[in-house]
Amino acid sequence: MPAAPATARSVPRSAPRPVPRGRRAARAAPRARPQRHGSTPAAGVAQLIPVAVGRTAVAVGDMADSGLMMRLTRGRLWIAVLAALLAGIVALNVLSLSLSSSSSRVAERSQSLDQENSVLRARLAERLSSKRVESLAASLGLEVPEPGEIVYLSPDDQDPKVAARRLQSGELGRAPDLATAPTTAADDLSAP
Amino acid sequence: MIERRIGLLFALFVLLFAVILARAVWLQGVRGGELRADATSQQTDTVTVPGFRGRILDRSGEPLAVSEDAATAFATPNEVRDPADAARRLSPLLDVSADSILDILSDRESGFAYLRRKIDLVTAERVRRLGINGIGILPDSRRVYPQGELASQVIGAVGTDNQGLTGLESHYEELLHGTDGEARVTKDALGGTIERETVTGETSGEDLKLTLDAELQARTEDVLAELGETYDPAGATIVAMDPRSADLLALANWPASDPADVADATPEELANHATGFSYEPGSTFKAFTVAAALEEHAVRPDTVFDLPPSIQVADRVIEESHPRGPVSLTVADILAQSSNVGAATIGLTVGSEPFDEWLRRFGFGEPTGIDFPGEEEGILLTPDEYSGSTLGNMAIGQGLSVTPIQMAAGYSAIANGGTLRTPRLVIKQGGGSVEEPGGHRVISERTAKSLREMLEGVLAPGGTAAEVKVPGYTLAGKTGTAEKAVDGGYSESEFVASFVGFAPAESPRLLVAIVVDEPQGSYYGGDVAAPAFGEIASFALPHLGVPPS
Repeated sequence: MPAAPATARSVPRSAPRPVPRGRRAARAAPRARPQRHGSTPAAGVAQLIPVAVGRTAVAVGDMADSGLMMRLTRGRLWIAVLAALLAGIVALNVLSLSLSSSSSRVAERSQSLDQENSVLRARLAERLSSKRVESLAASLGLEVPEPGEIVYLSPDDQDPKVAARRLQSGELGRAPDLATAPTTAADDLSAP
Repeated sequence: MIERRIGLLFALFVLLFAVILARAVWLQGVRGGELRADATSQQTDTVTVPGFRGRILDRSGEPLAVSEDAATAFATPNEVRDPADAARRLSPLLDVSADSILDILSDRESGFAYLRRKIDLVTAERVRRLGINGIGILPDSRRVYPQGELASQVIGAVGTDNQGLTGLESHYEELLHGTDGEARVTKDALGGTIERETVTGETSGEDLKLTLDAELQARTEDVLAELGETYDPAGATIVAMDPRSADLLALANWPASDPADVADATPEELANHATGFSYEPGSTFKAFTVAAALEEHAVRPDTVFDLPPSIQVADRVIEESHPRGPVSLTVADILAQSSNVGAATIGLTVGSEPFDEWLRRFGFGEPTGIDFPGEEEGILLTPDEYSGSTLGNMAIGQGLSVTPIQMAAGYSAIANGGTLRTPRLVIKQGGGSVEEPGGHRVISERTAKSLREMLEGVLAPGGTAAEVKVPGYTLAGKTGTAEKAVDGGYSESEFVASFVGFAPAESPRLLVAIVVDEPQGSYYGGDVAAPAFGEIASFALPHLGVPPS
C-alpha cells in the first residue's frame, strides 16, 4: 500500500496527465454532430440532454483523476478530511438537537410564565377587589363619609384670582417646583 | 495467502452485511408499523393547551370573573403498583380522603379516572414530584371570582369543562368561551423535552364589560344581606339603575351563592329574582294607575276624591290596609298615603281599555328585553279577560304579576321624563360597544314631572316611608305591601314587601327597586324595603358624584 503514494509523489507537476478514453470520445461527440436545419426546439433540448450527461460524467471523471484528489486519496490527509466531515455532520446534528431542545425549553418556560402570569393576575384582582380594599380601609379606621359630611364647593369667577393671590402671599403654601418635584409614585416612595 | 485472507475478510463483511440487512428488513419491514407506533407513543405526547374564557368586568374594568391556569390530577389505575401507598401519599395533597382515592385506584380494570379536577399549579407540581407510576397531571383552567360572591347570580357559574351553566356565563357562552389548543411534545429517553410543536393554537374568549358598579354592587349586597338576616325572607332582590340610560348599576339577590361552588347550591340561591321572580306588586303599582289617569286627563294631581272607608267593586270589597273613616284626598295624597280605595276609584275612572293600553305601554305583560337569560314576562290580563272586579284590583296592584326589573324599568320612565328603555346590563362585548337602548316615550314630560312630585310625598311627613331620609337629597318613591295569591285567594300571612324609589327627585340619577318575598316579622314595604333604599342612596349618590339637591 505505501507504493501508491510514493508513485504519486514521484510524478512531476509538469508531467502530462493521462487522459481517459471516454473523455476524448465525449468531447468528440458534440463536434461530430451536425446542426440540422428545421429541427424543433423540443427536439434540440432532447438532443442536448445526453450531451450534458456525458459532459458531467467526464467532469466527475476528471475530478477523480485530478492531482488534488490523487494527492488526497493516496496520502493520509483524506482520513483527516473524512474524519472532519463526519465530525461536522455529527456536530451539526448535535447542534440542531441542542437548539431544538433549547427552543423547547424556552417554549416550556414561556408557557410556565404564562401560567404564572394568569395565576398572578387572578391574585392581583382578588387583592384589589373593592370589598377587600374597603375592609382593609375600615380596619385602618377609614370609612365612607355620610352624605351630610361631604362638603361641595360652588366655584365662582373670582375663585382663580383669590387662589392666585393667596398662593402668592404664601397663605396656601408654595407651589411645588416642577423641575425638582418627584415625577412618579415610585420616586415618592423611595424618597428618604 | 494474503489474497485468501482478503477473500475471507470480504466474505465475513458480506455475511455481516447480509445479517444486518436481514435484521433491518425484519425491524423496518415486518415489525415496522408496530415499532413505529411504540416509538411514537414513547417519544411524543400530545398535550392540551387550555384556551381561557374571557373576563367579566364591571363598568370601570374591575374584574368580576377571570380564568387562570390550573391542573387536573388523574390516575391510570391499572398502572398503579401500590394503590394503598399511592392513596396515602396523594390524600393530603389533593384534599381528598385516602379511602376515596383508594376506591378509584383499586379498580384495576379502569384505564383512566379523575382524582381531583382544577387543582392549583403548586399542588399539581407536588403531585408530579411524587413520581407515582400511573398518576398524571393534565393542564386545565379554572374560573376565579376575585370579588367572591359579588353579583354571583348575575355573573353565573361554569361547569367542570369550563362551559357556562347559569347567568351571563351561560348567556354569553359563545363570546366568553375559549377554545383549547394542542401541542405535540417530543421527548428524549429521560423524558426531557426535545421539541414542542403547536398542532392547533388555543384561542381565548372575549371579555364582557358590564354596566354594574362593583362598589355599589358590594354595598347593595351588604344592605340586602342585612335585610335578609333581619327579616329572613324566602328571597329578596334589589335593582339599582341609572334611570337616564337604564344602565343597571347593581343587581343583588338574597340568598347569596358562591359562583365557585354551585354544586350544592339550591335553585333559590342560583336564581336572579330581579328577572325571574313574578309577583303581585301591590301599592307600588299605583303610580302607573295615576299615570294612566293623568294621561287620560281623568284626574289632576290636585283632584280631590271623597273616599269612603271601603268600596264594593263587583264581588270584591276593597278597603284600606289600616281601617279609617270617610276622607277627602287629592290624587297626590292617595299616592302618598297609599290609599287602596282612592287608587281603585282612580282606576275605575280610567276604564278598562285605556287602562290596559297604558299598562302595556309601560311594558307590563312582556319581557323588558334585558340581555339576561330566563326573563319572566309577568301576567297581564287583556280587557276581555277582566271580571267585574279586575280593574279595581289591578289599580291597586293585584290581579296581575310583574317582575322587579319591569317595575324598575317602568319607574325609570317616570324618573327620566317619560321614556321607557330596555334595562342594559352589558356595555361591551369583546371589542364592540353595546348600543345604548334608544327607548320610546310612554308618558309626557309633564305627567312624569307631576308623578315625581307626587311620589316625593311618600317620603315626606305623612307618607308611608316618611322615616327614610338622605341628608341633602330629595327622595321620591312608592311603598308596596302585597298579600301573596294562594289557592285562588290572598294569604293573610305571606306578603311581598317592596319599594321603588329614586333620587334626587327633581332630576333622578339613581333608581332603586327593592322586593322582599315573605319577610318574617314586619311585612310593610315602608318598614322592610324603604329603609334599604335610604341606605343604598346614602352611599350611591355621593359615590356617583351626584351633588345634593
